[in-house]
Amino acid sequence: MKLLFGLSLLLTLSISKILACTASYQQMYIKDEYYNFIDSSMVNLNRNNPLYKLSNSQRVHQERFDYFAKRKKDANIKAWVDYFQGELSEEEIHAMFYKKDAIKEHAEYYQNSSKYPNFAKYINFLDLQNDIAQNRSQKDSQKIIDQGLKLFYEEEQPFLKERYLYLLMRLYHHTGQYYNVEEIYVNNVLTVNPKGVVTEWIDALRAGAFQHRKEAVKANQLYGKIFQYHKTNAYYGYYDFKINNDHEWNALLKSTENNQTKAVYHFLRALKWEGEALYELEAIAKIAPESIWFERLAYMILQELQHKRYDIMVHSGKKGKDFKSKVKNYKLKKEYYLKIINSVKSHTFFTLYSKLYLNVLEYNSLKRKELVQLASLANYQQEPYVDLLNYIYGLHQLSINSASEQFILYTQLKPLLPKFPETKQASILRYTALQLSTLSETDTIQKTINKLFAQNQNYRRTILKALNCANATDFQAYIEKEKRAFFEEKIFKKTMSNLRRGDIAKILGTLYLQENNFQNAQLYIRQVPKENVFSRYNPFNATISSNNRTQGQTPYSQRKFVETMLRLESVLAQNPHSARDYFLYANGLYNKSWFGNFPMASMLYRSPVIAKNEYLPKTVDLSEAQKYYEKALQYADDEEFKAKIAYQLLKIKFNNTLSNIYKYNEETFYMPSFGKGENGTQKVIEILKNSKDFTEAIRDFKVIYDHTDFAEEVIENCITFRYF
Amino acid sequence: MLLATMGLYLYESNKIKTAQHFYYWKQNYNVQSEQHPKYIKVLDIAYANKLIIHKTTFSTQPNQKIIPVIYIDNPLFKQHQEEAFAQKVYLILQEMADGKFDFDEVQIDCDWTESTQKVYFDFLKRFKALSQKKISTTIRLHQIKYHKRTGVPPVDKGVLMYYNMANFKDLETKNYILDIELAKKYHHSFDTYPLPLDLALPLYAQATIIRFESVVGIIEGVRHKDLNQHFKALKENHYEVTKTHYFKQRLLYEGDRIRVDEVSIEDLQEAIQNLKEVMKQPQEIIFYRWGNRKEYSKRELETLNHW
Repeated sequence: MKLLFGLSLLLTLSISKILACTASYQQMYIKDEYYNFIDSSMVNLNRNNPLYKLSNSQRVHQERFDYFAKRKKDANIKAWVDYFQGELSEEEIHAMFYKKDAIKEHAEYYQNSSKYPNFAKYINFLDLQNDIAQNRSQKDSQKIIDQGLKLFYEEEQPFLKERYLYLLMRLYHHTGQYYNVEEIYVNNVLTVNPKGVVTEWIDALRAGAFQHRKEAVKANQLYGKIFQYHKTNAYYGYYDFKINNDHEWNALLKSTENNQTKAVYHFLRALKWEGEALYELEAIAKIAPESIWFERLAYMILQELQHKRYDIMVHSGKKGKDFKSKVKNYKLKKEYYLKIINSVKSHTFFTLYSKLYLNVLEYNSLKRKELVQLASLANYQQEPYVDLLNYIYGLHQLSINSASEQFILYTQLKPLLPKFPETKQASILRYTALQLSTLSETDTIQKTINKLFAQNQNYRRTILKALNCANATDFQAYIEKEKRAFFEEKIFKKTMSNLRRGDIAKILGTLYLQENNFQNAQLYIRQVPKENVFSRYNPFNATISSNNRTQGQTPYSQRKFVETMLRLESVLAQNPHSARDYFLYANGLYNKSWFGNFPMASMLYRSPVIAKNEYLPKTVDLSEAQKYYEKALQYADDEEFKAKIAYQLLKIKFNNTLSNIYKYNEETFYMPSFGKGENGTQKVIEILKNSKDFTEAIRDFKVIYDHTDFAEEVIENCITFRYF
Repeated sequence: MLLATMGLYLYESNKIKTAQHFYYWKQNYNVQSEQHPKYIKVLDIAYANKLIIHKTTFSTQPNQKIIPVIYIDNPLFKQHQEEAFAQKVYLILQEMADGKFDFDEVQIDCDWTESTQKVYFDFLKRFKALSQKKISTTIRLHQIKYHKRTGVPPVDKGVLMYYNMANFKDLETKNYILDIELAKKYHHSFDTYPLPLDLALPLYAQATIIRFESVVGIIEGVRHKDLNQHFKALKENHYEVTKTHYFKQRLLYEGDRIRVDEVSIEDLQEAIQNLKEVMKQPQEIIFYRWGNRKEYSKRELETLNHW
């Protein structure tokens, strides 16, 4: 009965002013998927039972309430169907007790029932006491209780008599008469059907009354029983088992000689949000290591360790204090867990499995000897998990060059998968994918795809982003591979299923374009059924602005761009001294880079900034553009035109100087650019001024082209010149 | 001499007087003394799939006009953006006040962020329009330093919460409640902050529990003097638990560490000295919280008024 109070206290704590300012403590939510190779059935638990999750999230609390509310309702409806000997259906019983205002309406309906006179009295009393039971009113409470007592003593049907007893105990509870709760129970204990559903509710009322009477031992003994055995309200044991001081705890332990019972108390203490499951597990290990409570608590801790491990994996590479603290916390807890497991004289299947499983989580090799031991402990239901660990053992033995070994392993995988439910099958595939992605040090296409699959990130946008700088030939080879092993085929199909029609052609066309292989690029871009890559600007223009974006130009599609580049190549082959064509060709190369006005021509995804964490060298490489500008300069004879070409070369120097972000300090994650902030104008000018190459180039430009109109226009309009 | 005395008199009478008040922050209002607190938290609102509203129950009635404080958990504004929210809160407040307390001002306590600023500020505007009352809000230090980014709430007055400024989870935090050196780093932009500010100061203590190198919770109201023989002193403010036991109804395990965060009157005086350099004298100092006032003498607390 203290559940509501307990819950409100929990909520109050979680949203209290003190915590709300900078942080709130909450245990992690336990994921049911990802690489989850543990299952509640291993410790003889119903998979749907929400009590065995080490979590304080609102969602999990709600799951618990909903789960037991349903069980309670189902059991109650069944009991009433039996009472009416099938004359009322489950739906009718439901409508009578569980719909809004239904009790009142049915009380009126049955008021003068000659068929069910006893029930008529009962439901009218149920209605009469309802406001007190729902904490809406205390009006006439004693009068109502007296009436209930009269009905209780007069009632001869055991079914209704037991329910009157429950209602009276509940009325005593809600009116603060806690001694009467127990007294009426003791005096009428034979009224209670030990196999029925009401006995469970009566136990909860008694436990609550003991708690109010400060009789902690009796209260907690009952909560222990409720948690272990009750089907409809076991959650009261979880939430209302409460120890306030050492005296209460020691007295509770002394109240029993049975170590199994003591283990339950430690287990319940572990479930409290302020409890530490590892220390309680250690205590159980000392008194009842063979107890189911030891295994169940170990199972819950393993879930938590698994979650912590995933959290670390997801954020791996971070350097902050919080991350380091998480890693340390996980390591300490894992070591403590292993210490406890190793302290137990003989392993059960689960304790040994959990030990091996921690290695699985960390991608450490398993030991053959322990796998053999595990097989000897497994029952029929547990055997698939032995097969799984054997598979993982093989997976860890793989080397990059062992194509035949890989093939054998993939063959093992095929019959293994159907032994598990779908979520676990996904786990096995993802685990395999990630393990394989660690075999090769270089970023192959297979590795990239495997990694996405392992992280469950293989949807269209992430695939395109991940392939942004892939080698076009490698990707083509990956796509066109004729024979794939079972596992490869699974991953390939999954990846393809997330792409749209024409995406492969688009990827290949774009990657070839990135590599300046315009012949191949054209071949694939032509296969894209509906082209959707356009530039609002003319990619063969060059302006004073760094990105050449000037409104009012002819839009270009990716296909038209490639065709123009190929045409320019052909023109240049015939006329290798054409300064103008070299200039146009160089403009195309510049504009398809990250810096130009048509970057999407050669990129599948473009970040608005050049960042260290996704630095794509090919998209910022301007060396080819530079080469052709230099050729243009070599053959140009008009001074104005020369100035224009030289200025484009200066822009390349400018971009090269700034985009070399690896030479900056650790705190700089993005390429600086003109504007406000730490990486704004001041930083840009500071970097440029520190570059001898750039300062010399800008000085030469001014000296050599000072006499041209173009240089005059540039010096007036280009922001960089204001600082040099 | 007379002139000097007169001068002193005029100076004293021209000085702004800072009044001292308290926050009452319990779920049940039960004050038996003659003096009653002025600021009473009446609502605690959060959101987890649905609105979770905790109303303070009144076992006794305040004997003066109060300023009801409504605490709103910031993430609420990420998920709950209904226009009707302000009306709902105001109706609940009116209902609670009916026959229990009078008020002319309402204080809203919410640690808003850039991502919730717009929704929160809209809520404040609506709440003000509906209630026709004076509205004040709590302001954290960082919200003053970075007010151009975090915005200034559209209200009549702010209350600078000069506590809880460190990282709760950081094991290197010196004192979560009041870290003078850390606070000084945020002593910026007071001169351009457009709202008049009162000051809220901490009068409480707590122990932070550290287990397996991670903060796992707090015990409210723990001071150094409360610790028993089962605590071994480590470094400043840090202790190790030497025996598993219940301490203030909270189970502590052998090997746990606790950090006691306590605020002395000297700490508060130093905080005031530092604040004087950047902040105008507030009209009110509000102490968090009522239940702890006996830990400090009245005379000690009055020294904090010397701006």
